[in-house]
Amino acid sequence: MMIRNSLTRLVRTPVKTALFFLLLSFTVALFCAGGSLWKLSGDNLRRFEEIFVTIGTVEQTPERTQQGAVWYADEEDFRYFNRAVYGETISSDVLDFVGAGYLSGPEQRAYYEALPFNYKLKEDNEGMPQAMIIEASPLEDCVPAGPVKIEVKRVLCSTYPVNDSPIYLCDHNTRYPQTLYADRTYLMALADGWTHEWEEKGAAAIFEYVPMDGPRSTQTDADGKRLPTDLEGTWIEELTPGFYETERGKAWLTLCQDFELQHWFQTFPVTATQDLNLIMAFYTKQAYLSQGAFFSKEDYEQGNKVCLISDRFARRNKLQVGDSLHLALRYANYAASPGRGGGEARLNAEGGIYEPFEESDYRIKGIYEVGVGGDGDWGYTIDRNEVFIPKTSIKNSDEHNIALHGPMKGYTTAFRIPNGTESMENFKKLWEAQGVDHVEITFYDGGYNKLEGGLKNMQTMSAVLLAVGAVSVVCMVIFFCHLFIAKQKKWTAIERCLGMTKGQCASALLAGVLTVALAGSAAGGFAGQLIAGSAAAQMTSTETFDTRFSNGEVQFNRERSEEEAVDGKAEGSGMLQSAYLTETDWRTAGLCSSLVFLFTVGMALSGIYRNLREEPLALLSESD
Amino acid sequence: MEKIIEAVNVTYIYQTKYQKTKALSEVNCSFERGKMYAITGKSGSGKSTFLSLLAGLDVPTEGMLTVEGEDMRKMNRDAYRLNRASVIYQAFHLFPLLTVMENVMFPMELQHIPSKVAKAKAREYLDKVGLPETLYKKRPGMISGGEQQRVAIARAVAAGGEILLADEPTGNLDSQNEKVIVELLCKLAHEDNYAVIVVTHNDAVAAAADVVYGMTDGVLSVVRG
Repeated sequence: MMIRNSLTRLVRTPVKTALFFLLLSFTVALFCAGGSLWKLSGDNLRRFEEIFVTIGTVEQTPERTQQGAVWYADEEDFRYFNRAVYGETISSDVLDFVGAGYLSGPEQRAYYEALPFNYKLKEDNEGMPQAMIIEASPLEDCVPAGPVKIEVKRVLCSTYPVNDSPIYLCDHNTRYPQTLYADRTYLMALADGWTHEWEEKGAAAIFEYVPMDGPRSTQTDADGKRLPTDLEGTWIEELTPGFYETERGKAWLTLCQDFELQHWFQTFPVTATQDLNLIMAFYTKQAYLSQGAFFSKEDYEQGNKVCLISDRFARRNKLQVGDSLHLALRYANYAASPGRGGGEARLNAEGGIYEPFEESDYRIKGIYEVGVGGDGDWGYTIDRNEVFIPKTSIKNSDEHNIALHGPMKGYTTAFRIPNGTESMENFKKLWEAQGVDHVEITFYDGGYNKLEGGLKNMQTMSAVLLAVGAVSVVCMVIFFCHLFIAKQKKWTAIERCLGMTKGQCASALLAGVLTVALAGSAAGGFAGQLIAGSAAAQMTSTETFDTRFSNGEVQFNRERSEEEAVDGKAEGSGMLQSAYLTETDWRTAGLCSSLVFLFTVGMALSGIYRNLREEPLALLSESD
Repeated sequence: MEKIIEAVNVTYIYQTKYQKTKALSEVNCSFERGKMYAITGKSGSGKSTFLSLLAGLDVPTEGMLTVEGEDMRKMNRDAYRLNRASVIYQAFHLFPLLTVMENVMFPMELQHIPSKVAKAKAREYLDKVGLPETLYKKRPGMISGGEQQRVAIARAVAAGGEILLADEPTGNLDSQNEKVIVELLCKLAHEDNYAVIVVTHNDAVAAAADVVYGMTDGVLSVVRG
């Protein structure tokens, strides 16, 4: 009866009731839409925070450039080039400062030369560069400023057997080569050279061997300082009796030993890192996982012996995820990336070979493929047999096996910081305060800043909508509670005088208001959800972003069907709109609607309490 | 005649945060069925407060108010108002959104009387107070003051009680309607055996009463008994 009477009251004031319902629905819709969009933009921010990665690469900049010149015998002229001249090598320790907030790094990465053992590192039909160390004499006294004939007397080591003799030699890049005498024997390090049109200049040969480095060392200590050595890389020595017993002679023999140990340049590089995201090829998704998994946080933290190998390396050696790979790491190169290539000499400062300092079996955790594209600078590209391992998996120090050290380069030195403008600006500010010159930091965030800006704007707009909705809801509920409850004091007083209990009076008041409030909240919540959904869909159709620089590509590819993934690759865009969360959460709308309903209940109860406190007869004695 | 309500040394003090006001001071009186009582006095003399206590909307600060010997403090006063005592007012106080018929049926519905029975009874009471059937479906705002007061009386008696309390029932009426209402109240007392207690300024109403009390500054005295 209470409810019926209460509803009768509503029905008999249709304009007031309809107005309450419509205005409440409208304000609840605003409130819910604001809430849903606010949550959605927050979820998107968190999602992008997870899938995007911000890294900084560090490069020591040269103090100046210097012109250099190389003599080209066939052209009888110098070729000129500019080379960078660096000041003192700046240690990556300068990046260790308070407040930097690194997520990983900073690291100046080394790549390690791993012994080849029986792993197949090239295709069967691929050749190898010819290199050899021979004893030879010129057929006549000569200056090898052009091709001269020499007779090979003994081959100490060679990539391929040397069947022809005499051969042509040209000290191609020396303006004034030393005279060679026919009655003397020389020890020479030679590589196959170029085919030059010497005939045009009256010479006989069109194919010549050229000098390559003899025993040489570029070994440094852990701080990157060169260790003193007598080995200067001279390509030719006059062979005198007892030469091989001298230190220099022994160094030549050791170099031969090294060539054989490394199967004539058939070693493979192993890069140790704290985070694969710091390697540009992985960061840009030029290299992507085709099988298995990336290293886990645990792998990095615990130094698990796990590795990532290339698909070609895996195919050639019939290796699969889970198989074991034996790695014997000989020396480190901190100056270059494997893609950029060596520069290091093969002997240590004492003329010995580098013995492996770390040797163990690694479990293959993942197999990667390298796609097209990339940065264009081959320092950032991946070497074809490059193996990746967690830095912490190397248990022994490489300090006595550093074959080359050099200034920090973008492809050797990087760090990762949290995403967002704030994080980057904070880093820059602190970095500038360090006052370090000649170090340049470049940030890559894959467009996160722009995206973050858009999402934060959306979040702000949502918050405004939410606030406006909330204020409107509060005003509306207070206003209508006043109309439906506070203004019904006399009605309540009459009911009390007619013998209705306070509870019955409260029920009679509440039933009607709450019916409309419930309907209004539900309708508003539903409308708000639709508005939020539509706004979110609109946002997706106008906003796109490039996930190539995030670590989400692989994850998204997995989420999509294979066919879609192939299409995505074919487009080569990496523009994945699917990364946006566009589904608004019904629970948010439900929560907002429930809050409004509960607030209405609260306001109604408070109004009813005040009504019931009034003295009925005193109220009713007042004449209207 | 049988006493239905008795007030013994009834005192009532309004207590606010800052002050106490004695609205009634040691009121002693009794009311019997079948009689009409008038309580007269100036505004603020305590008449309405006394009526409020008689209606069971509050209890005396001191003293005792009994209904057929039962202390009102110990009674279910909501049930008392529902079943035994009804109040009518100067401003009629009908439910404006309910029809005349629904207003009269309201207390019966509270008593869980089936709708059909309630409707029949309501017709009977409305007929008794002389309201034409054409007005039954109208809302109070659409009928005159006298008609509204007749509906209020019909609603009061529809509850089937024995005490009718009236607060200036003719205050808003013209002399013709006033006469009708006074006759109705007298009839309820004398024919239907109600104890009718009327708070009034109106001499004609007081003249029609069997007993007249005067209230001055919370003190009740018999004017005519």
